[in-house]
Amino acid sequence: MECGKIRELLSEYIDDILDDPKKALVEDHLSTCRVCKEELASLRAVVNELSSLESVEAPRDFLEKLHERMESRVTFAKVMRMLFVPMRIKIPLEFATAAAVAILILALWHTHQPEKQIGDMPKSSKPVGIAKRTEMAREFKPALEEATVPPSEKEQGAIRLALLIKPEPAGTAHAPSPVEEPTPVPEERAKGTQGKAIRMASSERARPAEGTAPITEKKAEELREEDRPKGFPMREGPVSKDEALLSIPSLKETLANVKDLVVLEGGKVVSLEYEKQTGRPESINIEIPAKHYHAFCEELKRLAVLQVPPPTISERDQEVVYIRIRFISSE
Amino acid sequence: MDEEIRTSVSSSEEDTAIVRGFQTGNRVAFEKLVLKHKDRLFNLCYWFLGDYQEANDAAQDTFIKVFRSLKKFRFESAFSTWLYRIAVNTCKNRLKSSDHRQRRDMVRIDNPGASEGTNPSAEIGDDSRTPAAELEKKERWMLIREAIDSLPTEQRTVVALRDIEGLSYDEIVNITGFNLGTVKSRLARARLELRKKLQGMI
Repeated sequence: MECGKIRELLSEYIDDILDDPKKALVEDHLSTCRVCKEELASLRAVVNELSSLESVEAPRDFLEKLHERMESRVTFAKVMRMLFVPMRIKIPLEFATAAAVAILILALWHTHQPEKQIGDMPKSSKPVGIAKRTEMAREFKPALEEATVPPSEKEQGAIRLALLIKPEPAGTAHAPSPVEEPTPVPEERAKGTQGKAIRMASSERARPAEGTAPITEKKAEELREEDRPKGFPMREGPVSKDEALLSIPSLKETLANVKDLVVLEGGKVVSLEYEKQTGRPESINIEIPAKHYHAFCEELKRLAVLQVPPPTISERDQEVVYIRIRFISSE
Repeated sequence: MDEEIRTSVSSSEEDTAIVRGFQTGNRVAFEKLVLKHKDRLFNLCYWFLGDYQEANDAAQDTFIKVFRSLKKFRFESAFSTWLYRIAVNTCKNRLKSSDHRQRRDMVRIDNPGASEGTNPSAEIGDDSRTPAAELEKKERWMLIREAIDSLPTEQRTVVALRDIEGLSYDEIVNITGFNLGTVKSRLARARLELRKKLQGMI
């Protein structure tokens, strides 16, 4: 066999893993070939050198360090699992349902919160019930204001009137007075007498200051001299607008006049509505016998300043007329 | 040879018993395995990677992997074969990492690292040697280390398993997954290469 092929088998020969025929061939060649014999010797020296290397031992604390690493890996793995591996936990259906309902309730509650907030307006312009209606009336000055409070059965068909009143200074508070019981009025009172009585009562109470007669230009024209109450200053001829504004009665006067008139016309005060913020009377609901409605309106024109003329009614249709009179500041 | 086989068989049987103990709940069994095999495993890792600290890390990683999989071990091979297989793969992966390439130039045989470990140079020396002999020993060690380190990974593997660890060809086949012919040829080439590099020393 050639040296080349023998040298290829020397490594296996060193490890004694050649089969017998090959082993015999190699040994036969080596017995006659000095070069291959030297080759074998050098190769065997390398193997011997490697096999005789001193063993490198593990550190003495190898086991201890191994335990430390294993414990830290377990903790790290647990943390990573908790953070990134999705939980596969069976949640009881009841618990899931309860949780879903709770979330739904919470969502609905939060949805309602913004609605309340939108409804909450700053205190200065907060429309709390009647106060809101008053503020709106002042801003828009409707001829006939619609009630924002659901009217009672009686008030649903009520005639709505609005009286202008002198604007009040800021901070004026009114103590709401209880609803007055109507004073029964004798039927024998004549219409004219009633009218005169009212005028006299009004003039005594009202006593407008000089130069501030509570009459408008229109009223002055309508007023007849013989009906003019004593002490009630009258102006001859047409009245200017400025004078008319100055002649607008105050709320107190107007309210008192209206109450008296209601009594005199055989009616009654059903209710008084006040502004919640200021306590100022905002409107008065009254009941007037239908047959006295027109007289009532005529007298009302003389006592107060109506924003618009009152409507006419047919006395035949009803026995009692319900009127809602609002007090509107003239500013 | 018979003695070696008998020792190997008894060692293998002992491993089987310990592993079965671990699988039935004996946690101390794992420590027994570690204490029994740690030095040989460490030695393999050291010559494979050429660095003490890296060998320590690789050996630790190997045992951690063993611990995680030991419950599922089915005794299809000897425990030691399975252990070395994991160690070789761990070392191969480390060789591919950039960290190893940086540390390859920092091989020291007189400074094994921070841990309380055995200095390989101290192991090979003893008090009776003269300083000159000691130095010579260290130099030889370094030369062999560098020579092995210069081998390709596959040749390094078979040299470490066969010539340093003394494993049989069959065991090397089982550990590496190479066929017998490949193991033989790679070993032969590795030895020739080492002879060339160590020519002045040997």
